[in-house]
Amino acid sequence: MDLSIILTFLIFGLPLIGFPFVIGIGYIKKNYSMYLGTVLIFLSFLITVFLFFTYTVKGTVIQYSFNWLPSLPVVIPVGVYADNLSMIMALMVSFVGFLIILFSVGYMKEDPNRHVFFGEMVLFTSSMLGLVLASSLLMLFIFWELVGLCSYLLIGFWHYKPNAASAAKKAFIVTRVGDVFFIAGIGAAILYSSGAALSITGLGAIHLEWQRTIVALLLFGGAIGKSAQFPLHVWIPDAMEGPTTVSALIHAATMVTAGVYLMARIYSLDLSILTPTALSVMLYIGIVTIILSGLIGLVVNDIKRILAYSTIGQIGYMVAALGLGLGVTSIGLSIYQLEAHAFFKALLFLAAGSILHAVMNVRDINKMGGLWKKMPVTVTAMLVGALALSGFPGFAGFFSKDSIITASFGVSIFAWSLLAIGGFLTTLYAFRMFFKVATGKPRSYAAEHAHESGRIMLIPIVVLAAFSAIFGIFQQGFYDFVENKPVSSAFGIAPLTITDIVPVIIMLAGLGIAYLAWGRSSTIPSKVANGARDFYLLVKNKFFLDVFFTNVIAERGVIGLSAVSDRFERKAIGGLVDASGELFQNSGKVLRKIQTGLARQYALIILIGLILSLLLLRILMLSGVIH
Amino acid sequence: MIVLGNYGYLWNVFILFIGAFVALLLSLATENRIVLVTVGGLFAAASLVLTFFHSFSLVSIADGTILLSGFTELFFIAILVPGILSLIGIAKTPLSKKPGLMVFIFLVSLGFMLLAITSTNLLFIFVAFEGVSIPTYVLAAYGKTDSELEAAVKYFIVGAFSTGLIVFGISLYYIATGSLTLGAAPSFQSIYLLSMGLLVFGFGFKLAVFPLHGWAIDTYTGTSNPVSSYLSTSSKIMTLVVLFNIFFNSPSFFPYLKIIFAIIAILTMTFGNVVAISQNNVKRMLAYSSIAQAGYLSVVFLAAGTGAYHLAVISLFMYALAYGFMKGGSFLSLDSLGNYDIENFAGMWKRNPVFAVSFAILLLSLAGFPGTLGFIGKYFLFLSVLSTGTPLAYLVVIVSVINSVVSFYYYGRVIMFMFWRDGKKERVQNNYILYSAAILTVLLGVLYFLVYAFAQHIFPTITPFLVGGI
Repeated sequence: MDLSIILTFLIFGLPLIGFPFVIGIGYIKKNYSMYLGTVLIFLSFLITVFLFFTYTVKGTVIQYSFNWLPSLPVVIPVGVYADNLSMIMALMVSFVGFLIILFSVGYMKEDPNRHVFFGEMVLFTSSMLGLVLASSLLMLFIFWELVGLCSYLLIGFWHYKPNAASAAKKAFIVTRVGDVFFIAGIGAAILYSSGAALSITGLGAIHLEWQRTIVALLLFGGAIGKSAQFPLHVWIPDAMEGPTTVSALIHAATMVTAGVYLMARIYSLDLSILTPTALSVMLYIGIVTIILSGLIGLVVNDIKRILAYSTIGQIGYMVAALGLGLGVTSIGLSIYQLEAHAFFKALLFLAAGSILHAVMNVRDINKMGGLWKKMPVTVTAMLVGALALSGFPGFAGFFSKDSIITASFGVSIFAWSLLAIGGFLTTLYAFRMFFKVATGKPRSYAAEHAHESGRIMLIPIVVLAAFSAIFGIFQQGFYDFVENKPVSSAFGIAPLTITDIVPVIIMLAGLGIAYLAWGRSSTIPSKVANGARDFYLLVKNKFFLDVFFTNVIAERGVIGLSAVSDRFERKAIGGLVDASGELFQNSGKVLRKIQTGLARQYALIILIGLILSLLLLRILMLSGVIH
Repeated sequence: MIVLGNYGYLWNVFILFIGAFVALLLSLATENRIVLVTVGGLFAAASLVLTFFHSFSLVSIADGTILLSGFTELFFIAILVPGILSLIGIAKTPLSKKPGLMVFIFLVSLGFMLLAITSTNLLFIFVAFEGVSIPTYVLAAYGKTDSELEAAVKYFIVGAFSTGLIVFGISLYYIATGSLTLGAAPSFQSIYLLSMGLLVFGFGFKLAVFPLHGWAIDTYTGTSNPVSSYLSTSSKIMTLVVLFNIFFNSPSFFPYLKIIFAIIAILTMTFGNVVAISQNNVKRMLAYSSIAQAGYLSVVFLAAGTGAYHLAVISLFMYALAYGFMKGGSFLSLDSLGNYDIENFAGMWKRNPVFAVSFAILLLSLAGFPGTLGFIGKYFLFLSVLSTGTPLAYLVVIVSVINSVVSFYYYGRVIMFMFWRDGKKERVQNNYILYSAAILTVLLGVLYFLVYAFAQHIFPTITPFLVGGI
């Protein structure tokens, strides 16, 4: 086996093998697990960098598969598939993962269960890396479930808080709905391709259009659950009950983008898999998600939930970019937005984490204010994040998001206008949050006595802020790289067109309105809220989606169904199991009487057995079976 | 300088005998059990290392009486590993005096076990087999309590009885074929079949299959834990391989072999599992589970004379290895407890969590839970038998799978007691043999493809010795 293959396995294998030791070593001294976990992820990052620059940049696709069950007649490949797309994802995941775990060293240093926390973080990072490097849909699904499990464990990390426990449960159940679609999609793909799609490269063997539509839509169902798109986005805001670093790593930068990665992955391997029907479903699901989450983001007061709705919306852009159906260009747009978003959203979350660390974990932005003076580095970084998020010219978001909006102009004017409105909403809620946190007077005791965080927390924030600011210079090189075109230079931006001016104008308008409404003391927000009372209440109640899911689907539908199946299980299946159990128990009581404890009887039994077996031999000989 | 010639390949056996006498001489100087067990363990480990690094690519010794191949190397390992575990177990068991003598007997019988599976000559096999039997009679009696003596006496009586059957079978074999070499073509078919039938019962007693199981339950229960572990692992695997050598070289016996072992396997595993359900003593439950496991192991004979032979050997090795870890580990772990009643396992999770988890892992592996080596071994073994495609094979595998499900009941019961029942509060001693066995069971179970690749590397093709009518 080639060195590159072994190293590719080590990218996710090293932390995967290491994570029990991270937890285990914590029983000796808790701080050791922090160091071991950080080192493991750093090693993964180094290996990824090495492979990226020695192989991927030169156009080598590292590809190797074991046969998982050699005994079965079909080949189930388990291995790695590292092309440009997966390596750029692996690079981002390990880099952001490393920065966030470094931040956690400062953020979690007081927690009594930090060894478990670091073990779970390491397991998560390794599963995420395995997910992006998987060589078959089945293996991808295994890691998909593993990241889901880690997400569950980490959201509920402070499980003694009832909110956290129920949020973890909610996240698990809601994503499970998507997973059902995903596994059905895998099954459909394998079925329609007569087994070829067991390997990720075999998706092209699905020939009929309607079959491709079904597979694409089912897999997109999985993506909707994981990437929190409408209507399964309801779990992310609640997931903010976990530690902020978890939100930054899992619910902003990496795991939630797994759905987008899945769609980009299958799209890049076979451009015809996403049929026009599937593409338009994706486009409009993305747009609905953007508008909805943008509106809700305007009325939420919890700083982390604002960021959560923002995440949902930004992923909506990624999905919409794929849905534009521009072939490899779509993949480039989507993945570039994914990476840029990973940097600035991780930055915003870490900044929020740093602030919450300073204000005793009071997450209501109405109780903050005036923090720019108290925590200059953190809040300046947050400003960079907000500018990047809203797409201020020069920052990462401008190049990633506004390119998507511009690209949609050629596809559909309707979609273009909705995406542009989404950009307006993004700016509005981003700066609502920023102004309420940073400017004005402190509105609570905690905010008055806030202090800047320690250096180990500031380093990742500053690094991420730098990336959010300058990531745009890689734009053209990134597109070429992901689209498998020859990369002339790593630096350089895509050519701008006249339509690029529209999102900028809208963004500046949003910025201005945000300043008027929240940048100084003003009564505009309450006037608007009172003016459109009904609409405000509709948004404030999150369009009643949660209520609908809980009260109608769960309580009326699922609970009734489960009561029926529970009765069937107890009576019919349980009765059968009990009866067979009793049969075995009773026969055991009878049979144990052979065991008399008398050696002479044992010899007698042997003798009887011998005679019977020889008799059988004789009978078989006479009947001609043996001769 | 003594020229050993080809005998040099047998250093892994000789080192065991040398170690035995070193331990014996050392026992004149010291009665310290730790020292003696360490010395014995080092020699046994040296033998294992030698086995690992030797390349046995078909060596014939003493005019073909002893034949070494990849096949023997695989089962050297499968016998030595649980043997070493049991030997280390002596250090812990509260036994009578003279531990040096015990180590001596252990190593001698271990050496004979290795010799027994190498030979192609029935008389040599018989001598080596008795070289295992007689020391193990002494081992079983190594104690003062009545139960140990009773266990040994029963073992001895049934053993002597079986020896008679073996000798009778061998003499009939000689009459039928005019030779004592395995694989000789018979001149008198019916006498040949009769001799084979006797050999099944003669050698089969150490395998403790139904109806030869009677002594095993009392002996495993009555004797001390290292000895139970040794008798139910190394000794059983040795017997299986000896039977394997004899029967896979007698093509004209194959049709009957398959029928009789199908019946024996079904009866053995059903009997073992069904009676194990109603046991409240964990050691006795483990004894019955040993019987059931022997049933699973003897399923391998259904692959005789088919193309599945190669896979069958590799999977038998994997299962034997797994069996050594789980049975050895679980018997030896009982040393940490005063009495073996199931009530005494209650609340184990609180009393010693690591012990509880490790013991649960071994029980799950015995039951064939995925993720453990026990599952992998069982899976491949059943698969190799299934791939022969005969209706008999399907029947046996279906019964085996049903039996595996039944076995979850009594293994699960112990797990339930350990985790969900409150019981005594006093702490349970750590047992590092148990822990290492549990870790290896899981580790090798997850990385099973490495074990598979290793076995395939050592045993790449069918050796001409074991042509077995393919």
